Amino acid sequence: MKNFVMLFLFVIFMSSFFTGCYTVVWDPREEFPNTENSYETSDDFYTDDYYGGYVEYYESPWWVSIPVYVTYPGGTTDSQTKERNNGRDSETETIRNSNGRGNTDRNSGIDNTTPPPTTTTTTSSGNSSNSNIINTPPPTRDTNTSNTNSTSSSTSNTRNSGSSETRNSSGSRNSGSGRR
Amino acid sequence: MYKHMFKIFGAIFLISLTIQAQNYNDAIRLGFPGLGSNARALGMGNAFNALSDDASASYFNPAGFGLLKKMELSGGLSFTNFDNTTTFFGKETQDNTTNTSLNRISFALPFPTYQGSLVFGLSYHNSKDLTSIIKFDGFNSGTNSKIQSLLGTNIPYDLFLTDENFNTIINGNLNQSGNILNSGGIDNWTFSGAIEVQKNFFVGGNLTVVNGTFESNNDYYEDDTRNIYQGETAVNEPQTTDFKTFYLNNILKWDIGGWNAKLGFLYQMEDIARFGATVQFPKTFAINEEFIVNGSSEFGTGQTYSLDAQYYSDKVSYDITTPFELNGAFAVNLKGIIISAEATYIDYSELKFKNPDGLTESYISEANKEIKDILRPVINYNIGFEYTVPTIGLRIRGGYLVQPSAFEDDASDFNHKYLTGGLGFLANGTIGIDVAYAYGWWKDIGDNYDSNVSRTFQDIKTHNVMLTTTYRF
Repeated sequence: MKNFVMLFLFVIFMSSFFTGCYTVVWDPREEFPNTENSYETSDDFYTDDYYGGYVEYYESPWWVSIPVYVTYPGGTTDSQTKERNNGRDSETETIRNSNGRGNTDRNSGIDNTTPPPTTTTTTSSGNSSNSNIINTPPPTRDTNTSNTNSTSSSTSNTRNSGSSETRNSSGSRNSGSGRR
Repeated sequence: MYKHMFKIFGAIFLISLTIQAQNYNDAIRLGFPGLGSNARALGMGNAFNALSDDASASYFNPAGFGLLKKMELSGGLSFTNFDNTTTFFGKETQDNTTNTSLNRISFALPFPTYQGSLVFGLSYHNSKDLTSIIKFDGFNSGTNSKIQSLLGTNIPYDLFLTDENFNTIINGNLNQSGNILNSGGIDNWTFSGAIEVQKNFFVGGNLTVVNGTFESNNDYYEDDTRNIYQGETAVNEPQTTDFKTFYLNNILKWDIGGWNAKLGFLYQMEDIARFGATVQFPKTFAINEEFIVNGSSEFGTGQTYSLDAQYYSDKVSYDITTPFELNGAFAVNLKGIIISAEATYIDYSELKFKNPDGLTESYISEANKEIKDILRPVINYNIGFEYTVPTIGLRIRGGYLVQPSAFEDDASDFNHKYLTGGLGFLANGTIGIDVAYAYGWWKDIGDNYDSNVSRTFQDIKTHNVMLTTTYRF
């Protein structure tokens, strides 16, 4: 048992200390790797081509926000980015905020000063090809915004052992010859 | 007086030798693999070692934890129907039993990383359902019987089936019937971890604490249905004329503990393929066994005798260790269709009894030698496929697996074979629901006593349904 414990510890923990170990674990003293640029992923086994939006189920890390590209119909060509929640709940956010960063940091890419009056925007996730519809105004995360319109999004992506009488079922439990 | 005491001590000595019955069947019961606890995997014939990208990696390949990028909470239920049709001296008898149980609760936690992955998991899972049944009924016209096979013990004597010198007039030609109901399972509490040591190359391991139970309830009857034995079975005991029935009930109870460890490797080749390998280190099962014996005899005179159960029951403990299990696997992704296959090498002749308490070392040694003589190495095969319909998240699966018999001379009919299928559904990118069905079939034989003189020929069919739900966040 002791040997196996040592082996287990060796493989799981010590390997991360060897030079060349690929995995770099988040250091709480450093910036949280919550953007795609701050996280380098291994290859995807499930790809958009054949799994559509369900790729997110396997390939999207919980700690990385997927950028949502917001485009405004009605003549403007401006494209803006906001961080999508990616299905995380409030508890997850607590973990992510443990480094002292608030929601406003996560919304840093949102232009929330002039929410347009349009009613529909198109979004696409970084890894998936699904399209989401977001009712205006998109940048509702800024608590300073004066816009009071509600926001909703839909993410559609998404013996024998049975022959044991061979035990020689005699009450004496003599070994017998049993199953041969 | 001295002669009588000598007989009593002699009988006790004989019992002390023969009351020990641990044999290869007990070892195989724990060493033979089960069906696991993941509906997605079972739907693919449990060819899941190279995939292992959910919390069931604790059972299949712990390196697969490294593929998880979201936290996962999962659990499931399993249903087993064990159907056994037995042919015994030309007479066919059928019986079945069912079992429904919670088979898994798992949690996986990927640590945030800048690159690569570090994932830990905790899991409770049932690795094997020990539910089974057998029922038999037939006339044995041979000159043998269980009563005769027990003459080395006090049981026939105590039931007035022998004279004072342990001789009996019973000489076979009895109707033999009975049933054995087995229940229980092997539960595992597993702590796992995996890390991506090089890009796309994962190493993982786990430690498992085993907790389980097993109970075998065995009823056995020998009846003089042809009224052959009209005389006294115990000389000068007229109430023992016209022997009718001999009944024996054994209850075997196991309290199973133990531990084991597994090491896994997994390499992902872009979006094309995955390759997996695992080393299951020998599992140690600590068995606390209680063996309870009841019995009776009935005569045409209306006389009945019963055994003193306390005298014949006992408690012992011992360990059973299983052999290494070496597994190699691959899975290829062909435009959305995953095809996976694997093979597992197990040398059952390396099953061992150890650390007996209440059993003699020489008996254990003899049992281990018998295991070496009659069990063999085998290679289990699994193959499966999965297709995901991307537009609706529906997943269709099929698979086939073979677990060859552990016995040296068994034909392929004795191999456990399963045909499996399953469906899965992914909802909102966070919830997965999987259901699987496995149909198993194989043959087996069993002896009520001695070898091939009171043998059941069993045709076994099993139906397993498994449901697993997964929540990722």
